[in-house]
Amino acid sequence: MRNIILACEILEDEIRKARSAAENQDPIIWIDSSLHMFPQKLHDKLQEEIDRIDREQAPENILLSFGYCGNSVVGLKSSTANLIFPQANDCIDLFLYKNKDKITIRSSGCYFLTRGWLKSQYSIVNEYDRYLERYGQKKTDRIMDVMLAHYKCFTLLDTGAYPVEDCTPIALESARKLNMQLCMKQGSIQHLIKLFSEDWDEDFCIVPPGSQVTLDHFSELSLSPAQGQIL
Amino acid sequence: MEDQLIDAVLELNEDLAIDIVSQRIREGDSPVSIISLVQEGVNRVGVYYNQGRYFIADLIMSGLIFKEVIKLITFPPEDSSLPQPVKAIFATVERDIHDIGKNIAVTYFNSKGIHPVDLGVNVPPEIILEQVTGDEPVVLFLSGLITSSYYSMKKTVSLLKERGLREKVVVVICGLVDEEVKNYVEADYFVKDIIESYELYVKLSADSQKMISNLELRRWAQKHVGSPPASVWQEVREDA
Repeated sequence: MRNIILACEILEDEIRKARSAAENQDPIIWIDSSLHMFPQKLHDKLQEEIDRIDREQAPENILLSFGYCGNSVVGLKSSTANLIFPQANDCIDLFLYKNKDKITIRSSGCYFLTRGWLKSQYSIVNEYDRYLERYGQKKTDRIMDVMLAHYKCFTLLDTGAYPVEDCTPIALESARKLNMQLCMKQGSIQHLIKLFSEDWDEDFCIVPPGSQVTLDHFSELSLSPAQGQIL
Repeated sequence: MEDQLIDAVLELNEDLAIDIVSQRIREGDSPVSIISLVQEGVNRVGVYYNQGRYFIADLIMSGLIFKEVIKLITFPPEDSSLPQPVKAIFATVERDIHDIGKNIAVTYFNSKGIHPVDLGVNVPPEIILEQVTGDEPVVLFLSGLITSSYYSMKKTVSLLKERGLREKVVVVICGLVDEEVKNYVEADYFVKDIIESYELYVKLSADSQKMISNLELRRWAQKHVGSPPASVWQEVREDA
């Protein structure tokens, strides 16, 4: 077997679309996106899956459709396969691939949303509702003031992988609840298409069997400054 | 350790925590013991969060409780008169805007009579270096949560080196950091919580004379024998 994909389920829309565009038929293993809240758990789960793949399938390559994701990929190792992943801080970076305004966009206090993020049980608006139930309005307002202190607007990213107009009402409602503005930005799934097309140029890290992912694999990120919420 | 105050914080019951603290202040409990119990509660909230039992809001709530409690406490003068306090600087580094932990740490330092320079969020290395003036040692707390913050931390350390300032600055990284990030950044220490930050600062400040001596030793060595391996200075620094 040549490739197996480990994919974050919050990117399901974009991954399905990118695989289709790349005519990719590789087997895919979905990883629970809620693990992003706990980087060490996400790391452990990824390593567990890699070890299982090594034992049971031993493909040439394991494709990780993840960004750096809060240190989660650092230390990962496959004993039999290349680990291949995009050079990206997080999925916002993935979706702003080659966007010449990325620095400006990411530095302007945007809290990014897609359909996947809006659907997540850990979405900002779902969390807000939970806090309201637990803490009441006054304390929830204090919490949100801290949480969103440096954000100016919710930014719905149109990645082209889902009907963005279907998400606009809930995004608007979320913005209204949290006293934020809503804006839209065009995103892209080109980085994912390249991952699934085996077009692994300098925008990808390839870690050979037996080697660990280190922070140095992300040194190129210095060229792509980022700012935003942890995803 | 079991205590009603720890439980109140762990249950995120702000009103009860404040009531207990007020009562213990009236009863003459020491500020340090009260704060230690609150910190223990905050730490346990962090454990619950890591176990998936609590959410980010709960972490923030525990921080808000911590801040409210600190407002009630007056620390004794001896806590606020360290021998030759060393300048402390806090910054959430360039490309990052997450400052909840940093802000609580600054509040805590202020409550202890240490008034650090707080440079805010998304602070470029050049702005940080503007604060590293004169000959006195500095303890620089660089905070960050997202990946790109590591690069900004590293860039800050590189700039300190380039400008010949590295030797007088102890670089402490905080946030979502670990030993590997510390090594990548070439920082001196990493810390995971507020009390640890403060205790490290106190240790460094109390040893400031030794820091200065090490500084002089390093300058002498650089002048006479060139730069020794970083590991040697790490030992000196850890010894300080």
